[in-house]
Amino acid sequence: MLLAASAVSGVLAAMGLGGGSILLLCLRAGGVEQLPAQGANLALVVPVGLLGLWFHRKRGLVEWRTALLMALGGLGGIWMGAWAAGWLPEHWLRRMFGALVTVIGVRELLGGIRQLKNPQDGSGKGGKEKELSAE
Amino acid sequence: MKKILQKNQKRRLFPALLGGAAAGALNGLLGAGGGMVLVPLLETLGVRGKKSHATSLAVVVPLSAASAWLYHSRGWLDTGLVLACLPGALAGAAAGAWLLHRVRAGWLKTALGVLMLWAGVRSLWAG
Repeated sequence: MLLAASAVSGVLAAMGLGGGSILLLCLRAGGVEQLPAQGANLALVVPVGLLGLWFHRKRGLVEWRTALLMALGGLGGIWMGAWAAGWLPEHWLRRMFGALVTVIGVRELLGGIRQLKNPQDGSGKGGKEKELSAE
Repeated sequence: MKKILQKNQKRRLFPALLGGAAAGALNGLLGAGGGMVLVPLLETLGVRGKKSHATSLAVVVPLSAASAWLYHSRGWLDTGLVLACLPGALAGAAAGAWLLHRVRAGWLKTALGVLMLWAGVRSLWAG
């Protein structure tokens, strides 16, 4: 069961879907508590992400300097985030995660619908280019 | 520092630092979701399409590593659980990278979106 869940999450993550939260969702559904589930998700992003970056790097897809600036800003952020995660009651975290999943779900749904209407390979009818939030 | 900040980077400095902080906050607080902030931000900064996703990943990976370390130091990291998920996750990632250029993601995204909406709303409701 865990193998299946982690495999599915890996596939989706590599395809850029789900915002990195699929495994977390599966772990929670499987009864893991919120904080250990978050921790496991974070740890697993590293090898899976590195694999993805390896391919991205070969195609020159990463803007490293901007990424560095963002990562530097992020260091302060994670410290505050982790502190808050320890301080807030668990049901708050669960609800906030639920809100995050909802937001990601909406974005995926809208992005999916847009892709169905405007297929990238040009085989479909063009349709209006709705300027929805960037994917 | 001057070498990093070439002319077109200077106007990115503040948004990048701020956006990175927000992404980091999400990452540390909820264990996911940094990309939600970074991808739209990168797009508005002119980094488009696949590059925004790839660059976001380049930020999320080190931040997640640092977060995971923080979590571990607080006893929130179950290393057994991580190791149990690792083979599946890596196999899945390899499969996903292969699938990425062979599958049209429209239906998958739509279905995933519906599923996640359902899961998210349920979680918000039930707590």
